[in-house]
Amino acid sequence: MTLDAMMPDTAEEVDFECELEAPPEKVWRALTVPEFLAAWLMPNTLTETETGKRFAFDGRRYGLPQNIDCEVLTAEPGRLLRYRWREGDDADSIVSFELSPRGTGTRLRIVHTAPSRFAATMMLAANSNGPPLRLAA
Amino acid sequence: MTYVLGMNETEIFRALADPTRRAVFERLAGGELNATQLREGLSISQPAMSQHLAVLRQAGLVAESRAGRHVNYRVNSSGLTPLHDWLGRYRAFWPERIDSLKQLLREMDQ
Repeated sequence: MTLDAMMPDTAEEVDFECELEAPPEKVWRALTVPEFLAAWLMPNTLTETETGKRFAFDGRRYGLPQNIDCEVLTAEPGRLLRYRWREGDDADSIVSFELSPRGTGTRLRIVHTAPSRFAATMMLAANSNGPPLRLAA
Repeated sequence: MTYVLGMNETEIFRALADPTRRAVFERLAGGELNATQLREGLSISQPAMSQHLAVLRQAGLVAESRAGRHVNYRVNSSGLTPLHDWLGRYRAFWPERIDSLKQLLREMDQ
């Protein structure tokens, strides 16, 4: 059995793009006003969307952990929001929301990068045909 | 269904964090081998190899089978399943949330 056959999926992130019928400023409010965020994403303890601010999501409604510990990494109003998304020990992932105007609406791109410890293993699979030991720890 | 990071995932991470064990695992990905074949080209003692194989087995990444006097090792194909679970979970999660976002935007005041 080869790793390719065993593990055809070597993605390190999930990546979605969509067109929204609202301008970036309005989409930004949906991302950063706690009540709006709770309405479409998950119940949360967000107060202010500023770099370094920490908050948590309660993911139980969707089978995720009760405490998803987040920290705002980047907040550029109307353009880019990134946060660390910690599901447990050793399980830090990063979620980013990129907004760009499209006519009167917004193109939204959501990228959720897998925890690095998962990604290391996926890289191993992706590089399984190369020389061993070439991956950094 | 509640998702909790399992012991198994932590063990997988620990098992593959070691470069020698990663090399051993890569070799086994090419096909079943015994401990002697696994050591070829690697400067590693038999006891050290046994130790590494024990860690990989413990993590569920490698399975063994006895063939006469030899023990053969192979990749356990179900061992990496938890690593795929994460991608599967969020590939389902985000499109549903985006649908909810679209709904919310329709209901929000300008």
